Amino acid sequence: MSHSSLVPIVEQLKHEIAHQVPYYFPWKGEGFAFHDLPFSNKQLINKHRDQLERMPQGKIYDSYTSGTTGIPYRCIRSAEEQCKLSAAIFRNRRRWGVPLRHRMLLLSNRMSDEPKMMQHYVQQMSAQQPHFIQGRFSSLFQLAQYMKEQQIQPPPGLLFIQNWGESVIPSQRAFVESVFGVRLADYYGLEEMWLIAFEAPDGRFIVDEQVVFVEVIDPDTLQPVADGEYGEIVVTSLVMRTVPYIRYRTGDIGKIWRDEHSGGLCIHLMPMRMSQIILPNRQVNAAFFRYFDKFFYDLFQQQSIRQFQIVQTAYTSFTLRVAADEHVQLEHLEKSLHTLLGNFLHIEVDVSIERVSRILSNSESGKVPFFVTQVQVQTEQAERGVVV
Amino acid sequence: MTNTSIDSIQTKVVHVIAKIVKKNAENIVDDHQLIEDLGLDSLLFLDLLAELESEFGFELSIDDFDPEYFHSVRSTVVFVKDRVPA
Repeated sequence: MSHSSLVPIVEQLKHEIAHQVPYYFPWKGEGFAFHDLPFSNKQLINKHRDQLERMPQGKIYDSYTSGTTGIPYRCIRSAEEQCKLSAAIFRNRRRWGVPLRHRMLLLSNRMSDEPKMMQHYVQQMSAQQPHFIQGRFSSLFQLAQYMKEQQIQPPPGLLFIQNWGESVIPSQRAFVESVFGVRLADYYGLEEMWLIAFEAPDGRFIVDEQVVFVEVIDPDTLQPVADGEYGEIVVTSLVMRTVPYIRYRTGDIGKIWRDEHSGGLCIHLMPMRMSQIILPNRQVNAAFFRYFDKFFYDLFQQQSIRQFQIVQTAYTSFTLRVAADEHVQLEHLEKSLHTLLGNFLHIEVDVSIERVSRILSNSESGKVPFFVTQVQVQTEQAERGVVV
Repeated sequence: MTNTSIDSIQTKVVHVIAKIVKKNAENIVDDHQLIEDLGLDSLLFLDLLAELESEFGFELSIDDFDPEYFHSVRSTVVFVKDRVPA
């Protein structure tokens, strides 16, 4: 699918919702195009649910998320939407050879490395003989470590393993793939609208343009950035109508570009979100994240680093938390992070290193984010829904 | 394709749908919507496709995994007719 073939689809969507969804009635006029529609986010939808939500007749599916944003949110889907979203995910798994009648092993979001839990999953692998195993990347890594230690072979019919909801560390990816003996497929989605992108067997991370329309904007100007430039990922669901997700700001940072050969829309995500650096009364410039990409690249090259996390402990204080062997030198990373933060946030910062044996997952989401802040966002900013 | 084979496809498709949604084939009509009227859900959707592949001997392509094709009994019959050799 090309960008030009998507234009009529989003314009038709704009026409539909501007005539059917009260919140969008002001954009009914023919003079308005899709790109004139306002951006949305969780706060906006929560505030205007009465004008946005259209409850379907028949069965509905709902789930709740606070995710990494901390904003409680109810996701609702009709049976038809649920079916379309499931079919989209399956379509992508099919590219990996998954049969219609398949077996999947799902790892818990709250995986611990207790032997009992590992033994449970090893038994499940043996009993179920899954076609694929799905879980947070950190859970897949833990299971791979256990399998390696115990010399446990993966199921013979395994086609791939699928990450869900966490950033992938390249050096760990290679280890996980070698233990399971199959490739890892990365997945990017939101609870609100499910699939956004799925890794193809050839390694490209492809947006599924049958279910979403993706834009990348400069969060400062709200203008689109050029293809290949980092910015905030904004998605429009082409499936969801119960609650329409139109130009929905994800807070995720990434870039998109069109693959010349296949025409597919490729995506690359940064392992952090827009909201993860909190500054007093100002936003982090989007260009900052481009330079952060280099820092993460350098960090990923350190094969002996098992886990890491940057923690903003105060407006100007950051700790690089690292789980690595004691002999691993980390001073250069401390210096590099100090330079990066100082130069691009334009403030004097303190950076320290904290060595830990293991970084625990977030108790709400079960994820191990690469960047967390302990700074409370100012109430005024939170009320305005400012993403900083 | 002869009228007989078209009728035969129609009958078989209705029986496949009835088997998947656990309803009596005699009570299923062309206008029935698979999700709203017959209770097809996301898991049964894949079962339906597997059953259609098995019953009619065709292999679905990646682009076929779109529930829009299977919106109603009638659209499902059309989908199958388009893929069964004349």
